[in-house]
Parts: sequence; C-alpha cells; structure tokens
Amino acid sequence: MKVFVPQGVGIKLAGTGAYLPERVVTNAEVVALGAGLSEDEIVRLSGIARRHWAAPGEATSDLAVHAARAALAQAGQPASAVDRLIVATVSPDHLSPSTACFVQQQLGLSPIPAFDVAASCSGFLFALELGARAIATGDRCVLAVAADVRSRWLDPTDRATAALFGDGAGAAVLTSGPSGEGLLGIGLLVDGSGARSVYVPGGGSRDKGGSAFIAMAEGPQVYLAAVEGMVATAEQLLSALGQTFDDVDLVVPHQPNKRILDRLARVARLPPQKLFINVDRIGNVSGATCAIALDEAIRTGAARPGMRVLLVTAGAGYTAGAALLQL
Amino acid sequence: MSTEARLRELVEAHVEVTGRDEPLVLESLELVMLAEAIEDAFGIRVRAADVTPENFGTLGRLVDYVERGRAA
Repeated sequence: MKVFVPQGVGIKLAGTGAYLPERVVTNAEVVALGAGLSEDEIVRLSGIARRHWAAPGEATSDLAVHAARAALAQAGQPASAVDRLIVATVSPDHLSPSTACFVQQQLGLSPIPAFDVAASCSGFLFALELGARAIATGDRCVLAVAADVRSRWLDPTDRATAALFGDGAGAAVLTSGPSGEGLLGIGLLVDGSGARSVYVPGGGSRDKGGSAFIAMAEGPQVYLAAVEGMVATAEQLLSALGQTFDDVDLVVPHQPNKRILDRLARVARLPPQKLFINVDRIGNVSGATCAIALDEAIRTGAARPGMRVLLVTAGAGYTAGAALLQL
Repeated sequence: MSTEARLRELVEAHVEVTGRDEPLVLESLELVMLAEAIEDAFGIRVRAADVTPENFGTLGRLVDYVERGRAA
C-alpha cells in the first residue's frame, strides 16, 4: 500500500455534499423485477431496505453536479475558485469523453484540469488522494467527486447483485489549511488478482459485445476479501500514523451490505457505535458510497469537529483505501 | 462432539450431506454463512483465498481444512 502523509501543509476538508436521485426503489419493486429473492431474504442477507435509482435520462454527471454544488456551498467556495476537478466513477455518462468533461461544463468551471478515475467502490478515496496531492503541490481548491449509476448495469434477475446497488453521488472540497488538521494521511492499493471479482465483461476493448451486466461469480470470496481489504488498509494506515483503532472516534466505511459491515466490526474489534452505517437506506452506491456516508455523518452530527474519523473502502479490482481525518 | 460431527451439523443447516466425499452444492450466500459459522464454532479465521473446492468441496475436505486451521 502507498501511504501519503501531507508534510508542511494541511489538507482541509472544506466542505462535503451528496445527492441521491428522487426515485426510491423498495425491496418489493426489486422482487417484482425478478431478483429471485423474497423481501425478507433481501433484508436478512444484505440489510438493505431500499435504494435510489436514477431516472431515465439522468446520467452520472447530473448526480455529480448536484453533489458538487452542495459541497461548494458548504465550503463557501464559488465554482470559479476550483482549480482541479476529479470525478471517480465506474459508470460514466459515455465511454468517451470523461464524465469530468460534462461536470466541468455543467458547473461552469474555468478551463482547469478535469478527469475521471476508475477505482470501483474505492473511487472516492482515490479521488481524495489525488486531490490531496494536488493541494500539497500548489493547487488552492480541488473538487473531488464520486458518482455512480450502477443500476444501468444491473441484471434484475441476478440473485447475487440485483438488490445490492443504488445510485448517487458524493463530493468533497479540499483546500489548504493548518498542518495537523484535516486529512492526516491516506493510503491506497490495488491487487489485480481480483480484477474479475466484480466486473462488467462487455463494452470495452476486450469484449465489446459481451454482457453489459455486472457479474459477481465468486460472491463468498468477494465478501471475505472486502473485509480483509478494509481491515488491512486501515491497520497499515493507522500504523504509519502511529495510531490504532482505539484512537479513532468514528469509522465511515464503504457499505457493500450490512453483513459485511457486521463482519468488519467483529474482525477489527470495533464497537458498533463507532461504525457509521446507512446501507439500509441507500444500498451499495459503489465509489460514491463512502462520500455519501461521510456527508451524512457530518450533516447529522455523527461526525463532529474535534473527532478523528477513519474512512475505509474496498472494492472490485481489488481496490482498497483508508484515510484518517481530524475534523 | 467430533470436528466431523459438528461440521456435518453446520453444513446440514443449508444442504443435506449424503456422504463424506460427496460434493457439497452450496449457494454463494450459504457459503458465506457456513464460513462464518465455522469461524464461530472452531475459533479460526476463514480467508477469501480459503473458499475453494479444495477446502469446501466435500465434508471430508472441510474436516481437513478445519483441522489444519486449528493446528496452525
């Protein structure tokens, strides 16, 4: 794992924002679409009661723009202040050009560097890490957005995936700030042995005409690997910063499903009250999940000034990341 | 209770065991639940790389896997 610890300049989390599409999809609707699971089974196996899906014609960039505007408003920064835009997504508006181009245009940003990163369910932390490095090397204001509309790639009859995914976006505005506050450190890794653990076979250069549905053939391995990835990256980051889980006030994890979060708490020996959970209401929103959860934690007061907050993610690829924030 | 008898109980919470060396046909989510039940029952940690046909394919292989884990 590569750990980045800002030196000499603080990375301030100046604002966060999130957006969920208006359409709420209940388990009854997922069952009616042919998921092959009962409503009770969905709740028992995943802990998910509902999720939001984008409307027809509503694209990933549209969600990203809503979240970005909310983050900029909270940060008190005008769009003209942004000098770098990073969009994490694995469900882009189009294969080309990047979704960042559409977001840049819709937000009315200056002609600044704007680009996508693809890191599946770790997307937000990959964007955050790039943003932090940009601030450390001279950028004044970076907008890191994670947005996904995975519902477009869902096979409604696939028991393994049909009930899990929701759509949404989360964003963070980074600026420079006092050293020792804000982002204390962030670590990322990729282990390509899991490149086909959860993937969309078709549409790319390997198999353009292949299936456009999310495939997850080895669910048990993905389930266990997700927890292993989150615990290992969190422990490595905390160790690099001379910290332990005991020094953390709140953990805001990626939220694949409730069972995985229960296992995370058990393996990391975290008391339940230290884990921020909202998967029951929004499902797995892929790379945006952690960003949406962080925004909700801040807005509801679960994450408050003075608290030390650990973000931790794991996803397809395999990708994983962890970040420690001093709010 | 022997390791094999306890494992048979855990597996039969999901599927019938017809013989020690007969293939176990478990759905994805059943495998996850079985792995966590094994962790609780035997105090071992099941890792993602462990969930293979070589370890989980039959009751006999599961017994070998758990006994290796307990000895480690």
